[in-house]
Amino acid sequence: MSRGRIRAWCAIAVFVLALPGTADAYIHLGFEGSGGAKAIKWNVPRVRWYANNGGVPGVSASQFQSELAQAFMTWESVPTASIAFEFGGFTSAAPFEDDDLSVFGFQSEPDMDRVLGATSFIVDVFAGTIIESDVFFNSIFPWSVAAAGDPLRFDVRSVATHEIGHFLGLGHSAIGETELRPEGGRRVLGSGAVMFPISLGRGVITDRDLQPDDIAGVSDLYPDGAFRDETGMISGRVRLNTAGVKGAHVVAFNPQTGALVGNFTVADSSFRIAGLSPGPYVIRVEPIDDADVDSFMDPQGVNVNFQATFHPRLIVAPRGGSTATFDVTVRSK
Amino acid sequence: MNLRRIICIVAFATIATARAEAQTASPPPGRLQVSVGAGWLGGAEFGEQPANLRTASGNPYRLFTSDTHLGGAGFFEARVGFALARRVAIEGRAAIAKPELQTTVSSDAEASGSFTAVEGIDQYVFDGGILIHLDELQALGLMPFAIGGLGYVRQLHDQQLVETGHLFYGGGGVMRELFSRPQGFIRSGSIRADLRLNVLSLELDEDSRSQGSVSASLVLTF
Repeated sequence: MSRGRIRAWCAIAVFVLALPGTADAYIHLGFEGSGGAKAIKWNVPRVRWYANNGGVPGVSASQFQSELAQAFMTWESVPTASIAFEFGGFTSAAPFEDDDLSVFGFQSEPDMDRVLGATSFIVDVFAGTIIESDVFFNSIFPWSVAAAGDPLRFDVRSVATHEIGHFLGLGHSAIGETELRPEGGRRVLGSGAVMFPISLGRGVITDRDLQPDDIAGVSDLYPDGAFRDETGMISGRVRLNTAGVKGAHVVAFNPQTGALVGNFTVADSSFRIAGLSPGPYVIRVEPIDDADVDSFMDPQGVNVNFQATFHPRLIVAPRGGSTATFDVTVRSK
Repeated sequence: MNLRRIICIVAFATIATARAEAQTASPPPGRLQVSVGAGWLGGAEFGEQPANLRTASGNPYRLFTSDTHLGGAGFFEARVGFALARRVAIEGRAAIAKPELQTTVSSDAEASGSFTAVEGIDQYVFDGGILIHLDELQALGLMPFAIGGLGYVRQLHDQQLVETGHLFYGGGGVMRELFSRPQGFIRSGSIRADLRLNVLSLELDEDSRSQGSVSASLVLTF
């Protein structure tokens, strides 16, 4: 390959290339290039993917492929996004081989005992385009393709839907609430996005369906023709006393529809949330305290020492434009 | 508070009409009527909307709860009508209002207390419909009428388009002639009081919203 290529990993619990500064909605995956931060995305009309021809107990190769196809269709069906996929066939190639094939398959990774699945990329670092992306499902866990889920096993399609979000270039969403388990790790109290970094657990199939945050994220990365004209953006900054706050999680809540869409402040304390239906929004700001900070971004400089705060004014997202920049002031814990 | 203002406007219109002595009559066919006035647009409830997260059990986890209300607001209107027959006219109207949206947030999982966030929006309405004079109900010099029609709604914030939609309206009112002349450019002057029910449907809002309005205007017939 004559062009510069890098391989990066993105796991369900940990990934390394989240660049909120490159995104208007959501964290998009990317890298620091010579010209600054660059989001990565596919640049082909139909993305071809392959399924590894190996299965695991409870899931045959053909069942695995069928669940993957339905998960791909979930993303392809987003009306405001313009990404499409095609199944290339079964292959004996394993995920994470540098073979120009985007392969999904099971793999045993006992060292990654908190990771259900992970996504890797080979990227053209000049163009910022994804050349290859592989996804593995950790076969040390029990898996299921049962239509209603299996309470003892993890749902293949739910995890596939999450990993395909990464496959497309999306990072993790922080719309969710968790609590620490006494034995370590976190228990999810509630999740508002398929791209929340922690699974709802065995037997749960709710992540088969995208949430408004997921839809805004993929539409921002692969906008359909009228998406930018018909949605609006909210722009602001988060302040603690007079200082800016990096890594604040900002959520826009639509009081008419109940939709929650979020993003983070970047190093200069600014944030942008795009892909919003026009109308008024409640703005809620909270620290990243429901998952490890490095699940979302480089933790350096991230401030988590402030209280969850609501902005005192409703912010109105205009159709096809952006609000003027406004400040949200938070208080120390 | 809103109700009190509505009553004041209606009372003003009634007193003003009582002082007039001219006998009210429907404008003859072919006459153009122009009016300007002001009124009060009633509020609308958007209701409660929880910020729910999905859970493993299937029961939602409530991040917080919101309750949204569109406040009442004064408005200005201008109207043009054309008498098709002695009892029937068609008319078009433009109105501008600046209602306030108020959302109260409470029961947050992390932030204590509740608070209300407020923001004003500019609402422009362009509507048109039919007016029917109810001559048989005329009394005390007041000419009752019924109105109905449809229109277009445009909401702006900081001069940027927020939302568009349509509305249906129905209602009625009374008209009282202040003066009339057999000749001249202006043939008569009247005052008019309207009471309307507006049903708004905005593009991105699944539900229709009902808003009452009351207005008084000065009408000139050409």
